[in-house]
Amino acid sequence: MEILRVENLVKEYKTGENVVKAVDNVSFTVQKGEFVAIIGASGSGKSTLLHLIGGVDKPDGGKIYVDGVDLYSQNNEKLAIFRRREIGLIYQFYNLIPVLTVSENITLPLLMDNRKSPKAELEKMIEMLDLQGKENQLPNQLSGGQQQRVAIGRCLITSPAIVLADEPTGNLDSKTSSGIINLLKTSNRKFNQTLIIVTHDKNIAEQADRIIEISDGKILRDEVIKNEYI
Amino acid sequence: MNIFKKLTLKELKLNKKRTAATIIGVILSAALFTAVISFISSTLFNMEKEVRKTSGNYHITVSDVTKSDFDKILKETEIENPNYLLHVGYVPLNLTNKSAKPYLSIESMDNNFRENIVFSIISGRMPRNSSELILPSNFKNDDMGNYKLNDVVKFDIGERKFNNDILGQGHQFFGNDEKFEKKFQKEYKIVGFYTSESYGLFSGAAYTALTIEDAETNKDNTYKLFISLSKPLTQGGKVYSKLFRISDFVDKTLLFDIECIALNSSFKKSLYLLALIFIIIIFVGSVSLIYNSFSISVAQRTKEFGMLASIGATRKQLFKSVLFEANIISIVGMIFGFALGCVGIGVTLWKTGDIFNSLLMMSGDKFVFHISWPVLVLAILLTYITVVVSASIPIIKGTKVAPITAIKENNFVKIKKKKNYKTPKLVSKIFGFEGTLSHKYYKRSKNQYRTTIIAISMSVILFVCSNSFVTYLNNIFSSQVAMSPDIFDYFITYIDENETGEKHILEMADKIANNEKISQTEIVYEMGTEFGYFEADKKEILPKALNEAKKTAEIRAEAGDISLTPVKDNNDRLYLSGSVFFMDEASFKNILKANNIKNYGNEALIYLPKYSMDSKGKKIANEELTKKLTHIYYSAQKTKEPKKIENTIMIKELPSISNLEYGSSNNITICLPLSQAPKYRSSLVLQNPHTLFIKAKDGQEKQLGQDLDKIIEKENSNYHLINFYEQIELIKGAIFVLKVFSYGFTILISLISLANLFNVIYTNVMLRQKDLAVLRSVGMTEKSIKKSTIYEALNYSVRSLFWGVSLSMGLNYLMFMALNKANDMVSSFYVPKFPVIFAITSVVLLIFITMLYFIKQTSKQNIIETIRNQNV
Repeated sequence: MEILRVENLVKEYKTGENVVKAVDNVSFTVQKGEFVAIIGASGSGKSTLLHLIGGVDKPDGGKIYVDGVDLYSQNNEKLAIFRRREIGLIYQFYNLIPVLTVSENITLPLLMDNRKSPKAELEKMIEMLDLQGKENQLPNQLSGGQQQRVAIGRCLITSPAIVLADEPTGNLDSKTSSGIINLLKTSNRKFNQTLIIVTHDKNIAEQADRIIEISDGKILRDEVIKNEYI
Repeated sequence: MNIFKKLTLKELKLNKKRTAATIIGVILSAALFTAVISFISSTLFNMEKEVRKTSGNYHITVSDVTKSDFDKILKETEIENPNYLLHVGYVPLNLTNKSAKPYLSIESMDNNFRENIVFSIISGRMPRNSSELILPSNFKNDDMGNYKLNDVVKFDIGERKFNNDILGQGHQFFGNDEKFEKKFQKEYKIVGFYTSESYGLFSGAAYTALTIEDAETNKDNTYKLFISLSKPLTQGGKVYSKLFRISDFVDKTLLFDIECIALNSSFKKSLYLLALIFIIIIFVGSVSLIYNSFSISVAQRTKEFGMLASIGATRKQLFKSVLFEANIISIVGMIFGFALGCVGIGVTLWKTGDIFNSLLMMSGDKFVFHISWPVLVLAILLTYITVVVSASIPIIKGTKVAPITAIKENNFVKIKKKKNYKTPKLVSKIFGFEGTLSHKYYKRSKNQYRTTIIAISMSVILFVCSNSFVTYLNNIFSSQVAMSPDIFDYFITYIDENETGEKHILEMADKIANNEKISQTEIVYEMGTEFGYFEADKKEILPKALNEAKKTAEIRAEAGDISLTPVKDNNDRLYLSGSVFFMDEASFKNILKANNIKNYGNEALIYLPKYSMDSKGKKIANEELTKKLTHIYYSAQKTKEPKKIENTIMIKELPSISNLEYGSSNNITICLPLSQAPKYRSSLVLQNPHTLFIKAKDGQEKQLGQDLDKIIEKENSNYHLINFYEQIELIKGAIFVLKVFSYGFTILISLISLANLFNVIYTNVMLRQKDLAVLRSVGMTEKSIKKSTIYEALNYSVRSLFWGVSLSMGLNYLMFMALNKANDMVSSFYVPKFPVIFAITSVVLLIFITMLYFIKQTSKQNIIETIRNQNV
């Protein structure tokens, strides 16, 4: 089942008279439950592409369909709600809300929906994230890895259609990175969560089912390396 | 240029709005400092110029100085070559009526007398030797006869004595108790007539005729010194006290008050106190505004400082970088601010120039804007100190944290012992999750919130206190014109020992009766009992008034007021303060008409003053004393049995241009026609002599004054004309000027307050851009963000208004106490209702509008770019 379709996507940046095409007519699809790694050199446009898919940046051309919904045909309000419920974004620098506790950061999308997470579900999530005993701590009391796990929890709590991770291990040591990737892979395997990771780390990329290589805003290579989803 | 300066300049360019807000703050404070200081400097400059031109170039006069004291003064003080008048002697004037000036005093001038003493020669010339005299111009108007130019007169010259003591220039006329002792005779030629406003030139007992000191003049007589100080600011106080040790007759002039540091001068004390309060208000407002700007700059640059520190920048270098920012902002701000302040005051003086001219410049010179180098330096210094103080505090705080903490920006969320903050149920019920989020921001980042709330409170305090201050200032002057608008413009009295006042006043009234510029005249003659009290039957006084009197009896007695206390040896009667006013027939008929009294049968009209005026000119409502007074008793001077005023009519209206209705501290005012005065003359005593009150037609006041001046000049010197109109006009002029100044001041202070508020709110929003972007990326809608903002705005408003309003009331009270103690300048506490209401409304509107506007602007920003920019 197709969960993501990108059609002729364009994103340009104007600096004075120069126009830089960060994303240059990119088209591809992703199936539900796929684990896709987007790789590319620095400045290739991979993060820009991810952010466009995540609805946190506006394209200059093309369309994006997430679970059949044309992302950018919605108004800002609907887009925000869609992002809350159907898309999970993980950043390199965690970007947690500093005044909310671990539990509150994790359940933030539910709180925005005026929903409360059932206690059991939250406990399960905390356990999965290996954050037991840290529920009431603030982000600045946690290590980098712990913070990133909180960010992952926030992302997964609503069981979104698609999880997007922008260099999730870029700020972490190798051991912690490995833990984070395993967590993401677990959610992908266990919950059939569609996962798209942007990374420059070859080792991480090779753990994915499919690699899309971006260069100068264009898809250079789109290769399935594990054929479970063909 | 070093890297820190380069970075600082880049920061300033990058954060244009914040930089602009800070510079505007500096401009406003520099403008205000300049305006206040230059206004005071201009006032003092012009007053000094005016006083020198009209009254003389000297600071101190010393009278009756003997030759040995003169030598002592020259030896012990820094005074060199003072101007002086050397007393030659007194000439008794042969007057048909005794007058207040029964002598001519002949004084020899030193060679340089005219340098510092101002007088104008009306006709003739100055004397050239000790046998020539120049006489005062009003001298020829007296009864003794007209002297003409070139007349040669022989005078009997001698001394005035009182009980064998020689009386000098400093002594008043002692009437029949003093004697004249002739010493010699001398012939003089009258060579001129002069007029002068110079202080101290005329003594109380004599007209002053001037001659020249030469070899023939007796140097052992007494001197009157006119001392001009070369360094008044530093010399004044010292010289004045030294002179007092030598002589009893030392007087300082208005020039002394203006130029010397004499803190016991109430004028200077008042002026400096007012200036100090203005400067404190401006300083506090400016520091608040500029401090916030720098505080925010440091907060924004914390990460940058952290990175620089991690590379190796020392705290000193970072401190210098912020000071560099402060210097740039100061220089730009001060140049524009100084120019704005000068232009502001210059334009104000240009527009209100006529008022100032009539207020202060009697000589006809124009009131000019003046700013001196010391004033300029003071204004610059005050502004610079404001900026440096404002910049230093946040940088000291900001560079205390470890570099990595600064880079991580972890510092603003303080870990509290209490781990879990519960959001009040009401908040979550009304505002939902959005309110909870805002509440958590408030609880966990209290320092930042505190800074914001303090800044907003400061704006409220500044606005309310500056409003209170200008209100007190206005009240100080307005209380002096708190009288009926139908009051007199001039009054004329006649004083002589033979008590021919009534005859002369009636003559004067006839003389001016046909003057078309006069609207109304009134002759009033006040009499009272020997010790000021009438008596009334106790049963005729209302119980409420009696109770009030009982309550305040002790306080009144201390002040010498025994009103409504029982008469000694008579339990049925009470003392009642009052006066009897005898009025001319026409004015009395007006009163009868106003009270609808048709068949007047010589009754005494009794009026109960509705208001009294206290010593500060404030109206105090009087308790109603009585419904009817059947008779009023008064103790006769010469008989023991009190007499009675039996037939009385209570009146409700007292139309009078002489202000009788206020009755000062009287309980009752008794009115009778002048024709009945002889009946009471033997048993009542004179309180105020026959006085002719004159009211001019509208618009004709000044011309009437000129007419009256001409008439009085031709009469004998026992007539005295008081120009009340001019006094009131001066005060009205001062009020007008003050209002202009205070509106300008209030507007500028309000601008500072608004700029402060705007800056703080804007920056708060800007500092949370990243968090807002993250929340949007997670799925928070604009509506939710708005809801959260509304709760936050409410939080700011309520807390800052609570502190702002309560502290400003406290400070207002302190201001009242300070102004009340120093000089009794204000008498009642002012509750700034309207400024508070205005402040509350403005703060609420501004906070809500600003926050919602900027949140909306932030919401339009690209989410990922905002996150990316903030993550660096």
